[in-house]
Amino acid sequence: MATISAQSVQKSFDSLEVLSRLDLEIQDCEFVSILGPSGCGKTTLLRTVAGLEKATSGQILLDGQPVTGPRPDLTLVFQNFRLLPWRTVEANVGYGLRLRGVPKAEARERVQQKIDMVGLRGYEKKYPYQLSGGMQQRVGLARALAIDPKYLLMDEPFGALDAQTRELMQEELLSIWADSPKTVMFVTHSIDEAIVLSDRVVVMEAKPGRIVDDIRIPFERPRSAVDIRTDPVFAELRQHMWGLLRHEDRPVAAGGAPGE
Amino acid sequence: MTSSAVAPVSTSSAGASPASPAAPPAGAPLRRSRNRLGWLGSEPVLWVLGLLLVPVVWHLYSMVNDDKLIVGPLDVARAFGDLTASGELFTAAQSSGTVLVTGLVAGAIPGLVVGILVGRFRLLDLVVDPYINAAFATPLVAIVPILIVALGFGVQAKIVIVAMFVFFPVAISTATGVREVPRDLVELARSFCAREYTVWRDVLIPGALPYIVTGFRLAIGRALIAVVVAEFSTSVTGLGFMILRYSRRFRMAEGLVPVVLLMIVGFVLFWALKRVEKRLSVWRATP
Ligand SMILES: Nc1ncnc2c1ncn2[C@@H]1O[C@H](COP(=O)(O)OP(=O)(O)O)[C@@H](O)[C@H]1O
Ligand SMILES: [Mg+2]
Repeated sequence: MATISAQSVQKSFDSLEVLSRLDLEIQDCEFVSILGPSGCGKTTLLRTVAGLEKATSGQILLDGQPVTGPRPDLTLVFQNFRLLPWRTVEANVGYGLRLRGVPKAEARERVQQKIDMVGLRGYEKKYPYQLSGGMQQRVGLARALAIDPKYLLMDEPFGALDAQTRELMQEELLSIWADSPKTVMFVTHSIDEAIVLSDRVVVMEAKPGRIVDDIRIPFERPRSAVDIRTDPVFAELRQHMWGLLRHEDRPVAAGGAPGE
Repeated sequence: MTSSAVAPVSTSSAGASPASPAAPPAGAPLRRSRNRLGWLGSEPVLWVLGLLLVPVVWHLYSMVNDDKLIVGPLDVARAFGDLTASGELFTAAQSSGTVLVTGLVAGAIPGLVVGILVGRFRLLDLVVDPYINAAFATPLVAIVPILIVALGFGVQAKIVIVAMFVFFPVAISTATGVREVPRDLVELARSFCAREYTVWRDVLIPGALPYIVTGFRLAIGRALIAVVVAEFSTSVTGLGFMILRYSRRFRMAEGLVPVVLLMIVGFVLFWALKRVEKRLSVWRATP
């Protein structure tokens, strides 16, 4: 079972309270999006779940076990890509596999498959400086997916993609998730994206960071993004989330982010 | 550690960078055209001419000067031949070479390790920093006599001296480079459950590489100095001692032979280092 349970998690940096007694339960193989304005603590929450940040008080349980540090069955896709500049696309995508000691031949196959999936065939031998931001972001995504983790945390993973690539990636992500179900926390700025992808959307507010709503998305799976977007329920959900986010000082984009 | 002295020399990395849109088309001259010089202007020809310039001037000077102590390049070349034929040069070079290589390794490896540790762990840096900087600022030549008294006239003493000269530039450069490696990348490796040594291998060393190479470059120069200094004061063998022996007998041509050899060795080592660096830095965008 891959459940995530945040129990009155509080996180402060010096005197700045970033997360305020936050509670969140995520079921095994549930896809949960986190929506909220910049600075509300989304990244901090993911980092805490990933064991890279220690909660000031409260605790995070993964499958009932308290998080004490990074673990091999969890991957975090960082907001800022973090590719190793001295490694090729291929080597970056295979980095997690290599650290886990996956046999070379098997690793190569999985790497190639993920490179194809994110649409970077032909770029295997390129170095990160030779790629656009959007391509780098996809390498980071492929690197995380290559190790097929039980827990997949993604921090605005499509933020640098153009609208069209973004939709392709959304579809790929859904099909991966359907083929090999995993527990997903997905941070995004896009209301549409959150609705199309998720079982639940958690809406946060800032100062201090807290959850203000937790919305179940009723659409059946497998989903078709086109059908969902034309469904009246979609408009309703969208309207509701807009209402929640509007109070914040920083506006949130309803559609895609600026392109690559 | 503060050390502006060891900032990496920006190296023109791999000329072949397929995706540098800003680069001019191959062969397009950036500098003024050399064509006005005709075939004389071709690069290899100019290179050879440049290489010959100093020896030719030196030769002319030694011809017009009657002083017996002013020897010319041809005298040195003849002495080089003689000393090679007699095997004397080889024996001396072998002795010096052993000290050089052993000392380089014995200084560079601890230098690398200490540099990484100091660059990685801030508290350690705080404690060790004053010592390393003080030692780097000290003219190490000054403590050579003291070291010799302590360690004797043997090979070990010479190796320690060379290692000492090598250790500090490598440690300081490496620490500077490691500090420059983005913490984000260290964290990335950690998030994949990398162990400490894996973080060194995959992140810190490659990230600090330009600085490490600069440290090695400084270290090679200092190692060559250290070998000669050590041999001046300790031994009855080696290139340094050869220089002493012949110059004391006013045999300048023979005395210059080891100098020329050291020069060649330094040149080759620098060139090799440059090659290695070029291979290792293909991932950097060419400026
Ligand atoms: N390491 C840190 N030290 C101090 N403040 C931080 C640190 N990380 C994040 N913060 C602060 O915490 C708040 C939430 O940041 P973050 O979790 O990145 O928000 P989001 O991802 O929702 O934009 C911001 O005000 C940010 O400045
Ligand atoms: Mg963030």
